[in-house]
This record gives sequence, structure tokens and C-alpha cells, in this order.
Amino acid sequence: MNYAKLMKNFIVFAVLIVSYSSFSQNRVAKQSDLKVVYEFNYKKFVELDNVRTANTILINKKDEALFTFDKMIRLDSLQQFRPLESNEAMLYRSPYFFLIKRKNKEISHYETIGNDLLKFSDTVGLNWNLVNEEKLINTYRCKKATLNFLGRNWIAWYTTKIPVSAGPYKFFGLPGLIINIQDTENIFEFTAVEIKKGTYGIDSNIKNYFVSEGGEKFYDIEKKEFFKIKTKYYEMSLNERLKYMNREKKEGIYSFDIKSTTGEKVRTNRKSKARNFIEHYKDEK
Amino acid sequence: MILLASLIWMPFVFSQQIEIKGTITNLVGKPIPNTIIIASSTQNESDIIAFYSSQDDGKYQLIIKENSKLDSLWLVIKHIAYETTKVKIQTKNITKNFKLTEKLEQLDEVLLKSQKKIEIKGDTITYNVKGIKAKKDYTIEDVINRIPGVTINENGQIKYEDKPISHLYINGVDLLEGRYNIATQGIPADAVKEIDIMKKHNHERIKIGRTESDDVAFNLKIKEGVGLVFGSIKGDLGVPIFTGLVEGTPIYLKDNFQNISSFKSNNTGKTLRSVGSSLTTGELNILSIKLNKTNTIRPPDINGVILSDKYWLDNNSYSITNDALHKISDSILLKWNINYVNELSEIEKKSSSTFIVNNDSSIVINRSKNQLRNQRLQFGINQELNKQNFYAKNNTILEYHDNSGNENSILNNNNIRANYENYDLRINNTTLLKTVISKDNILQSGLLVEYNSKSENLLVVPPVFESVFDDNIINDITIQNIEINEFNIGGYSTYDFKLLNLDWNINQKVQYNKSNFESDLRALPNSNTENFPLSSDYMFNRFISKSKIETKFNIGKLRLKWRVSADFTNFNNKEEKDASIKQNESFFFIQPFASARYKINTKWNLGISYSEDNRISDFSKLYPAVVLENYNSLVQNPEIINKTKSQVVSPFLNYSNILKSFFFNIKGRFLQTESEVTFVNQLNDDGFIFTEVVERPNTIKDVSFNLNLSKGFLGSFNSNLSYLYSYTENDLFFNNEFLNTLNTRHGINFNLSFDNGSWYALEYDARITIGSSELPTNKVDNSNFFQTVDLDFYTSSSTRLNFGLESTRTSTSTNNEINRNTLFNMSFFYKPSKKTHLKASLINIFNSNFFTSTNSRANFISTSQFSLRPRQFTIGFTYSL
Repeated sequence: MNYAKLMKNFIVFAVLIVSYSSFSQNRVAKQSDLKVVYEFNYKKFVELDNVRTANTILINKKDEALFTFDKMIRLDSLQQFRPLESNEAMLYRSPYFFLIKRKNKEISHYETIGNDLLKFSDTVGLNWNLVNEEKLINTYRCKKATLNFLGRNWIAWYTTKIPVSAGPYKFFGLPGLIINIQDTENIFEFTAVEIKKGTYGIDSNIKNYFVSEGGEKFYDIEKKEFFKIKTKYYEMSLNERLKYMNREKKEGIYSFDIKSTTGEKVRTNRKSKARNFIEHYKDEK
Repeated sequence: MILLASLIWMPFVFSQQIEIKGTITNLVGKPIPNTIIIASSTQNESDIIAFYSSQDDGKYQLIIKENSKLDSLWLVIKHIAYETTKVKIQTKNITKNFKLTEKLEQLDEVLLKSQKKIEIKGDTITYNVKGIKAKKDYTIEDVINRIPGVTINENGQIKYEDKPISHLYINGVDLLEGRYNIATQGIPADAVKEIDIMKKHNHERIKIGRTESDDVAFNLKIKEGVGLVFGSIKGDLGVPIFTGLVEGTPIYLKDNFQNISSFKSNNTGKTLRSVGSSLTTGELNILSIKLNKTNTIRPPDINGVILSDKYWLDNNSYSITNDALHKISDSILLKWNINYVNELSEIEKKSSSTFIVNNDSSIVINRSKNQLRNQRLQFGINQELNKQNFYAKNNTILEYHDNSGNENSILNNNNIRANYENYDLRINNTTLLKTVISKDNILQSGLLVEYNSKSENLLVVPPVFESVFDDNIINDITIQNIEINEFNIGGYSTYDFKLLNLDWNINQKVQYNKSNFESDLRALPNSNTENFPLSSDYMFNRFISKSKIETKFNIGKLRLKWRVSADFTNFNNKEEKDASIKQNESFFFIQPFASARYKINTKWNLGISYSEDNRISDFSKLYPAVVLENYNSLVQNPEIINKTKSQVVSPFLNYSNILKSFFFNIKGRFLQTESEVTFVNQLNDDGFIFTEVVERPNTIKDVSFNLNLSKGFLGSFNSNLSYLYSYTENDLFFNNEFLNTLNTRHGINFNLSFDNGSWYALEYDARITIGSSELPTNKVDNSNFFQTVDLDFYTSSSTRLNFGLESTRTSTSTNNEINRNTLFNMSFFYKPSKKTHLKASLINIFNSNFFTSTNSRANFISTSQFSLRPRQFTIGFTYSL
């Protein structure tokens, strides 16, 4: 009788151990997602030297990767559960509102121009040039690689210690994670400041990452048309932009007239200062 | 033989491509994609000859392109979730498969955590001032400008990532509200310890349906124990008449207490009537329950039209305000405010009104000199309790108005003088509550209690409308007294929720209003009290209940919204001086609204909406007494409660092409209003009008159409053109004749602006209105052409020169005269430093005396001319402490 009871306990115990180890094996297998926080330093205007900073996030999963601004990730965690309040939309303003989704070599670029949600698809093949140089960045020994992409020359530092072929924005395809990448004119720079392994989700409803009026959806347009609209939009004066953003309101077309009490006038009709964009798009005729 | 051998051998020597391929799997044979395979000459991958990332099926392919002299190379296989494998192979075409072992490690391994430039604690970004301050920053505005994402305009407006902020908190509280530039241009950089950019900040901490504020908030943390006094002083001095302006705004801050005072005084044409911070919520639901501020007797008219105040407002104004804020605890706030405004305005006017009645017309010419003094004393106190799941706010406001004035007129050659007085005491208390019901549903409620007491008097010499008085005595004065006491209590509750994937809102409002209207119209020296309707004691009781439900949803590209409101009103009114006048009636209406909007693509967008609005007479249209509204106007309301029903249909269409800088918008409106009453006007030859209302149905039809076009061209030019057409048809009774009038109006508005960012900029604006009134046997036309031109020269980075002109041209078909007026002005602005601002201006350069404009409606056209301030040269300065 004793033996039977012992045997029964042992079987139960064995089953528990086996199920635990197989269960824990499953747990281990899931942890290959990577979340990288890249500090993004950029010069917004062509003629001004001051450098601005924003935090961007790369989420790299087995099948796909997502790259966007930290504030937009926060917008998503909010909008997944409830609609945005009008003041929160301003609090979560990102310097740019774009999101890059990558699946192998297929890139989907989502961006808002004014109040419009636009999207275009692209296939990229990056021809990296590996250089035999090494540098220590944030405790990682990195190797150098150069590239001409998006109309600019880039210098990247990657580490094979993190064998993930990913990086910020649309950069990928090196034998390790890109820790730092900068263009040769020193306008844009991404530096990894935090890397975590774990399980991270990507919201399939991309709209949740953006600020939008209810009912709007992303318009799929040609890459060429997207850049034409983007260039045109950022050239517009404050007044023109206001009109453009409110063009669908049935009240009609708005304009700004700002004068302060001291008599100072804000030049709302002046064309905007020239900006720097990551993609130096040239119209291929 | 050697040749053959060399032929076989050559491919191996001169071959530039070696292929190494295989499949990467786990221990059970499942392929592993995204594995990095590196080919290197050394084991530690110091030089990478080739690399590959395995595909979805685990396959990889390395092409060794170099003419490598290496006999062997290292293959390093790496994957984030598997153990690294290193293998030495021979440099030749081979197929090598790998089986990888999974890594066993903890969850959420942190691989890198370094210092981030921007510290994000929870939901606030904090910048330490010491770190971003530069030696020459004397005001905090300069320091804020260094924060990434922030730009500051010349007028002190702060923008965070291109969007203006409107909340600048100091030590966590918002005293200054929209006037923050007083603080940023005044607070010295040394007094501030840290600047927070508030992220997950909501002024009301719980989530609510919609808030008024929609801007980023900054919070300046002042160093503990520092007591600050700062602010700004502004002054203007002018000739030829001694004109001046003085304004001071001292601010005191210390720890949890903030105080802002201001004193203003001027006679340069700047009105101060709207000065005084408002502690009211401005909440729409409360506003709809609140009683409207109406005057029974019209105050003396001291307003010009079209032109800016600075040309015609002849004033003597001063005001004193004080706002204080105490932060009692993290969630309790107390604010109080007191303000006093006193403004005396004068104007000289001449108007010529033509009334057309079928085959005849009457002209009334009126030359008047009017004066009005507005005085207001206001005290308010406001408490706020702000917690995670609960928000409460209570406001109490006490207001006292004392307005007095007079009108001295020559009306069709009769000299008349009217003295006006108005005393108004208003007290109200509002409470707002917000609570969370379930996960994301919020219930919002409010309660309002108010009491108003008003007294209005009008004294006219010589006596007017003598025919209404039942006596044969020769009178000296006509006098109208009115006293109104009102009590109002109301509440509302509104709830937002989601059901069946749609957004819903339900709203319930309840209101009870009790008022008393006492009036007395008599001619002196006859001291007998008159009978009704010249004397009245009217008791008014009204109960209202409004229940509303609203929903909105999308079907593909179509966005739909509909709303239905069930309104119930009950009256219980009676006239104490005439027992036959009793109004005990109830009304019930269903008010629907629906709208649809369809976005065809990024360029085209169209929609349509329909609404029905049923209304009943308000208190001001119900008291049955005969009232002397103005020295030449006597009015009597109908004895019935009038119902009006309006139906509106509004379609619209939008097109926009950003690449061509072209936008247009067309909208239409079809409105039909049915009323149960018609206005009856009797005008006599002396220019006196008696208005009464009779029970006769009346329909007003209104069609309007609006077109807006905007086009940018040649880079820096921008133009806007809009056209408005409106057509109105309605009936009225005038001098015993029934008139069916058709009014047409065309309005064209054209605006052209040029600014290419260089040293000059131009803006031109033109407005043309052509109106036409068609009566059974007459037609009257009038036109108005108004233009403004603004030219700016940015002579240096700190100076600006401005030239402006405003010009009108008016004409009517009943008069051969065409009136033209042009006013010129110029100003010079100089900003030598951040704290100082200087200005010199010359207004009305050619010393025009009068300004003329015209207006037409139904069967009358009026041309008014009013006096302008003489040419004035002013020098002004603004200095921040």
C-alpha cells in the first residue's frame, strides 16, 4: 500500500516536473523580441545649428519590426483602451509623426501630413560597405559600415554581440544591431541608449499610434506622390497650412492674423524655413 | 596533359566566388529565420568577409567574393535566442547545416541602459535650469528657448513643436491662464529651479469627454523660499489732445501663493469693458441653463461700425484687477478675484433712415451726441478639488453694474434729451462634478443657482408719445421705470458611453426660473399711477426639462451623426394688474438633428445636415406691458406665447489640391422659420415708432450660398476669394400696410497677401456688399465697399515700419450722394532688448472728421455717419520688470 501511494506521488511529481520544464522552455523561446531606445538627435532646420533630441523606439520581433517615436508608442497604449482627449493629443505631440513597419525587405511607411494619414510601400535592398574599424560605444565593441541611402551618406556602428539584423528607421541588414548611425553632414544621428529583451507587442491597428479624428483611415499612395505632398506641405506658410489642415471643415477656409498687445506682428504669410528630412528625396524623372 | 590540367585547375585559381550554404534549425529540426551567419578569417570575427541573415525557411547562402588566399575560414552562427556556434571550414563550395541550442536565461534581460539626455520620470520630462542656462539669459523665456522642441515668438508666445502652449504653470498651479507671457518675460532665470514639460497632464485629473484646453503645459518650479515680484509697465503719450495710456501688471509669487494685479487707464481709444478675469467655467451645459443678460431699455448708442476702435472710440477708461491663488494641498486649490472697471464713452452720430411703404417713403434724420458711463465691480471666488477619480469645482460670483448716460438728439428737427440709468446686481453659484462610473465612462453633472436684481430708468424731455396717456395736462417729462427680479436654479447630467461599437451621449437638463417684472410709464407732472398696460406687475414662472440623446458612427468612408432632444416647458404667468392675462401652458417638442459626411478621397469631401429647432418666447418677449424702449420707440409684446419652428438644410462640398495650392469650398443653407406672430410698426412723421406684435402666422424663407476659393501663386503670393449670396423673404406690417419683402445680398471678400520672408510684406483686403430690398411697388439698392491695406517694412531685426489705410465707399439708390472716406495711419516699432519695446504712431494722418456706412433691411435703409478721433501722434513704451 505504501509503495502504491509513493508511486502515485512520484508520477504526479514527475508529470509536474516535465510539464514545468516544457512550459519553461516555451517561456524561454518567446523572449527573443528586442526593444531598443534610440536617442535621435537632429537639426530641424537647414539654416539653424541647434540640435534637438527625441526618443525613438525600435521593436524587433521574429517576423517584423516597428520603428517610431516614444510618444507615439505611448499614444498607442492609450488609444488601445480609450479614445484620445483633445488636450492629450497636444501633450503627445511628436517632432515628426511617422512609423516604419518592416517585414523582411518590405517597408511600410506611415506618416501624417497635416491632418491626413498617408502610407506608402517600398522595397529596400541595402548595400552596406563593411569597414575594418572598431569603436567602443556605450560598452559595446562596434564595427563600422557605410552606406549611401535615401539621398545621404551614412556611417553606422554595429555590434555582432547582439546578432539582430536591425536598426533605427529603415536601416537594417548588418550582421548585428546598429548601435549608432549618423549621416556624413551631421544632421541626423541615432544612438542606442537602452536595449531590452522580452516580449513586446505591435498593435495591428496602426492608427492607434497616431493622432487622428475618428473615422479617418490611412490613404495608400505612391511613394513619389507622398514626397511631393510632403515637400509642398513643409514649404507652406502658417496661414496656408492652417487652411490646408482645415479644408474639410464645412465652415470653410480659415486664416490667422496674430498681433500682440505690444504691436509685434507674427508673419503668418511667410514661407516656412527650409527643413531637413531624413529622406533626401529627389524626383526621379 | 599539362594544358588539360591547367584548364581544369584554372577555375579553382581564378574563381572569384565561393558559395557556402545550408540550413539553420533548432534541435528538433524547426528552421530558425533571422540567424546571422558570419564568415571571418578569425575566430573573433575581427574582419567580416561576408555575412547573411537566414530566411524564413532557415536557409542561408554566403558568397565569398574576394580572391581570398585563405585556405580556411571561420563561420560564426549567431542568434539572439540561441547559443553561438563557431566552426572552422575550408574555403570551398560546401553545404553546411547547423543545429542550434536554445539559450536559457531570465525574462526581460536588459542589455544596455545608459544615461538619457531627456529624463522621463513617469510622464513628465524635466529639465534642470542650471544645465541649460547660459550666462546672458536674464529672463526664463530665454532659458525655455533652449529646450529642444521649444521656440518663442517675438511677442513671448511659447510653442512646443510648432504648437502654441497656453498653460504655463508656476509651482504647479495656473494663475495667469492665457497671459503667461507676463511671467516668462518677467521671471528672472535665477529664480527657477526646474522646468517640467507636462505630458500626461490633464487639468482635471480624471478622464472626461471633452476638455477646453488642448495645449502642452509647462511648469516652472520656483526655488523654495524665493519671493518674486515682477511684471511689466506700459505707457503711451499722445498729442495734440493730451492722450495717454498707462498699464501696470505686478506679479507676486512665493511658494504656494500667487498674486497678479493690474491697473489700466487710457483715453486713447482702447476699450477696457472686457477687462477682468473670469473664474466661470465657460462650460456649455451651464451656459445653456444660465439666464441671458438682456436690457429692456436700450442703452445710449456709443458704437461706430466697421472701423477699429482706435479711430472712433472717444473714451476715458480705467480698471483695477487682482487675482490671487492659494494652493492649499496637492489636490485643493482656492482662487479669488476682484475687479473694477469704469469707462466713459462719447460719440457724435448722424443717421438718415428711409422707410418705404408701397408708394410712399418716410425719412427720419437723427443727429445725436451720446454718452455712456459703464461701471462694473465684480468679486469671484473659486474652489477646486482635483483627485484621480473625482473632480469638483465651485464658483461664486458677485457682480454689480452701474451704467448711466444720455442721448441728445435732433430728430427730424425736434430737440430731445434722454437720460438713462441701469443698476444691476447679479449673484451666481455654480458647482461642477465629475466622477468615473465604470472603466472609461464618466458622468458629469452641474448645478447652478442665480439671483439677479435690476433697475432701469429712462427720462425723456420733452415728453414723447403723449397720445398714450389718458389726460389733457401739459406734460414736461416722459419717464419709464423698470424693475426686474429673477431667480434661477438649474442642473444637468451628461454621460458618455460606448454601446454596440457606437459612441453615445445622453444629457438631461432641468431648470426652474421665477421672475418678476414691474414697470411704470408715465408723464410728469401727473403723479397718478397709470393703469395697465402703462403700469405692470408681471409674475413669471417657468419650468424646463430637456432630454437629449446623441450618437455618431462610421460606415466605411461615411461619417454619420444624429441627435434627438425632447424638450418640455411649462409656464405659469400672470399679470397682477389685469386679471385677464394669464398664461398657464405647457409645450412639448421633439428636436431632431442629423448629419452625414463622406470623404471621397484625399481631395474631395462632401456632406449634408438637417436640423429642426422649435422655440418658445423668452421672458423678454412675454411681459405684456407697454415699454418705452428708446426715446423714439414704444414696444408692446403680444399676450400669447409665441412658438417658432425653424428647419435648416445645409449641404457642403470641399476640394483641395495641395500640390497646386488650390482649395475651394461651397456651402448652402436653406432655412425656413415659421412664427405665429408678425411685427406691426407704426411710424409717424416726427420719427417715432410704435411696435406691437399681432397673432398672425409669418414665414421667413432664407436661402444662402457661400463659395470660398484659395490659391497660392508665384511662391510668395496667397489669395482668397469668397462670395456670399443670400436671399430672404418675409412679411411685415408697416403703417397699416402689409408688405412682403424680398431681400437679396451679394458679398464679395477678396484678400491678397505677399510675404517672401524678406524685408517687406503686404496685405490687402477688400469687402464689397451689394444689397437690394424689393417691396411690392419699390426697389431699393445699397452698396458698401470697404478696403484695408497693410504694408510692413522690416527695416532691421529689431525695427519695423508699418503703413496702413482703411477706406470706404457707400451709396444707396434713394440718395444721389456717394460717401467716401479714407483713413491713413503709420507706426514705427523698435525693440532694443528683450525687456523693452518702443512704438511711435500717427493715426488719422489727414484728419478726417467723419465716417459713413450704410445698412439696409426689409423696408428700410439707413446711412450713418459718426465722428472720428482727430489726428493723433503717440509714443509708447513697454518695459518688463
